[in-house]
Amino acid sequence: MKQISFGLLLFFILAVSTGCGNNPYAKGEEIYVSRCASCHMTDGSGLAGNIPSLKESEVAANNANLVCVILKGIKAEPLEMPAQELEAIPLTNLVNYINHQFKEKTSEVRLDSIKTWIKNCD
Amino acid sequence: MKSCKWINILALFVILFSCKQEEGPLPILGFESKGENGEVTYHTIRDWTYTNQDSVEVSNNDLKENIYVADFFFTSCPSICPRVTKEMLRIYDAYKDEDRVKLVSFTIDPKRDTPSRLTRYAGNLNIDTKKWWFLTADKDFTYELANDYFNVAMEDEQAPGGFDHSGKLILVDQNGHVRSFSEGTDPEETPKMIRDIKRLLSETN
Ligand code: HEC
Repeated sequence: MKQISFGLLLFFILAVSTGCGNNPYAKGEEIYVSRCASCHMTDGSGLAGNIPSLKESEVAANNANLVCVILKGIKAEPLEMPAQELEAIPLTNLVNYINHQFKEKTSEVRLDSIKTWIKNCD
Repeated sequence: MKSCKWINILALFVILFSCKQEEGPLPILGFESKGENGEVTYHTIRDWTYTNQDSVEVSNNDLKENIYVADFFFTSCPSICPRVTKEMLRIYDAYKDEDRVKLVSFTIDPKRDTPSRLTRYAGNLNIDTKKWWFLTADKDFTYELANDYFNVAMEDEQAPGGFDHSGKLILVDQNGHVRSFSEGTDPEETPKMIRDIKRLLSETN
């Protein structure tokens, strides 16, 4: 009896912790919050005409372009987008988080595609 | 500069203890001193003259008929400024049609933030620069002035973007007294600022 209730409890905790957090990309979220959110805002909305909204960005809509912008940055006036140093794995997490959070329809991006896109931006 | 920080922290305490109620006139924040004849002098923003985004000289005297919200920022700031500017924009939108309310953003990076750069920055925000000024002047004066507005601003190579500063929004009345403040990095504090502006307006009409 004890074991059953313990199992039930475990199941319950698992169900709550996975069911409530609807973001499966926690690592990507961490990177977004620490490297992007101060400019593009937590909700991706940006700052009027000065910092683009990632929800409406055509650049972000394309994964290959998104990867290049993150790695290379954009020299611009009056504000610029700073280039980011990110290895392929954290970059995969970040791209998946952005897609999941800010785009209507997406499918999961895999590490080998990210690696190809990284090569293509050079 | 260290001692300024302490004065700021002390000032914050004074602020925290003096603004609990949400009715009646807003308190006058900061230190007050009593003269020999018992006359009370309140904390007052010092006089300033700045160059605005259109390269026109403006001063606090031009705001005598207005109440205004001030913040300290710089355009190439990678840390808190975009969030703070976003909250300023919310306040701007809330009082778009109320001429008595102005907004003033002081740059702490005059070297990079030239009037022409501030013009582009303001233009991108799509705001009326008669209502919202972007101002530049000698940086040392601005660092001192920031203290009057209970903000910290100083150069610091270790800080993101090269400046250490705080993101408080400060509400100032016609007499140069600070009447309310909010944390510009916290969107949840903005509605109270918007209410406080309304309170201050009702006090002054
Ligand atoms: C210092 C502020 C800042 C940070 C931090 C920042 N960005 Fe940007 N980002 C910008 C600015 C400004 C632009 C627009 C540049 C221009 O004028 O083209 C931009 C542009 C972009 C674009 C292109 C949007 C478009 O439609 O043109 C994408 C995508 C993007 N950023 C993603 C990111 C991601 C992802 C991160 C985190 C890894 C990030 N940015 C971090 C300021 C920033």
